[in-house]
Amino acid sequence: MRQTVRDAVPGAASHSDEFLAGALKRLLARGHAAEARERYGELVRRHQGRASRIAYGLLRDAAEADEAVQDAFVKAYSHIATFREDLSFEAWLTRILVNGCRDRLKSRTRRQRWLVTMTHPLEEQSARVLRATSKSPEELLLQQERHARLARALTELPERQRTVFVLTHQDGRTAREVSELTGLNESTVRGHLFRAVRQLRAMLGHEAQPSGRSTRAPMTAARGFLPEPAD
Amino acid sequence: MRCVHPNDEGLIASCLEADRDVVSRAALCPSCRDRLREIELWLEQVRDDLNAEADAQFGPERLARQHAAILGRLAASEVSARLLRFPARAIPTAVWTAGRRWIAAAAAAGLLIGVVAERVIDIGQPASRGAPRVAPVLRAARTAPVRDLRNRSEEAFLIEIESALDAPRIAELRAIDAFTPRVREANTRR
Repeated sequence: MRQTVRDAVPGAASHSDEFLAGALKRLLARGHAAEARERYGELVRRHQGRASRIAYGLLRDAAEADEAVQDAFVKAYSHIATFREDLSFEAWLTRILVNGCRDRLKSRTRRQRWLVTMTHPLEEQSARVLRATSKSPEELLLQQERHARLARALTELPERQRTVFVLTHQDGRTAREVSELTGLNESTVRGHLFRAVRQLRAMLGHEAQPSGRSTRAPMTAARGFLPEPAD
Repeated sequence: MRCVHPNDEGLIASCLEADRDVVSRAALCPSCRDRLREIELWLEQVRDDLNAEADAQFGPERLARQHAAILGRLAASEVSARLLRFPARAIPTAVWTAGRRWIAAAAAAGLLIGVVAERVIDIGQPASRGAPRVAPVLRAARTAPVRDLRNRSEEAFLIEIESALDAPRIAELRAIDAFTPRVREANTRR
């Protein structure tokens, strides 16, 4: 009876990503493609949610983010033979994904320069968020407006600042990890992150003060973005 | 320790690099600590909002479709790899490569000879014949064969436009330079 990875390693779902990736390499080397795909499905399941968040944070378009995530997983599978098991599969996949998203952003910039776009995706997607939740109408409206403002602000960030901000703040990576993912110098990563946060605060109505208390635009405070500061 | 009352930028740096303790929190006065806390809460809110928005877009159903699409693409790529291809005509690689090298070298030599010859002939011609010689150059540029764009993808076409705009237009510059009047020539005609 042909021995498979499943037989050899019961409960493969509990194994680390690197172990599964290594098993994949061996299965593909032996020509067991169907089984390799099944094992890879487990890796996809583990990482697709996080990958989708990152892609959406970078691209700000759900359909394009979906495609970017699919492309990243397909590319990772086709290059699994080059994956080093002593490194993090998550970091390797994230790097593939980020590079793919950056290529898509360049392509989008090129299209926007030469072609006329007919739709604005931000409003459509904000409306989708409104329908997806079950809060009161006022809360939904405030949330929708907050998300729309945040989405616009994030879109206006330069590409590198947005990438660093999403990877650091939304994906919870350290500056060193972001440096390895993007190829940027660690101090450059910190600089981009700082400028991104400063710019977002400015765009979302948090005026910087040289010293003393910071002030928020009254409308922002009234809309429940943050609790009222103590006077 | 006396509070230095850092500005917002100092407090942002402190939030982002808490592990490096850019601004010692213990040294902050209550007011500055409130400001620092406000920035921290704001950052948490932004992160929660971004994640909530992304999760609303990528719910369980969409993720399941995405999962199926990924595995489907992998299966499809394996099927296409199994298709048999027509065997190409067996041409000895060494001969083929050597032949192409000779052809490329001959083409480059011919081009160089042509450019040098044109330059030599141009220098020998009197100035009054400068203008008529421009017309063929310009005409040649205008009637240069237009590439068939129908089979190109949109992306490749846009990249080509950008390359054309970024690259120096040497041929056009030469043509313009050829009919730009020189002070020397104007003085000679007088």
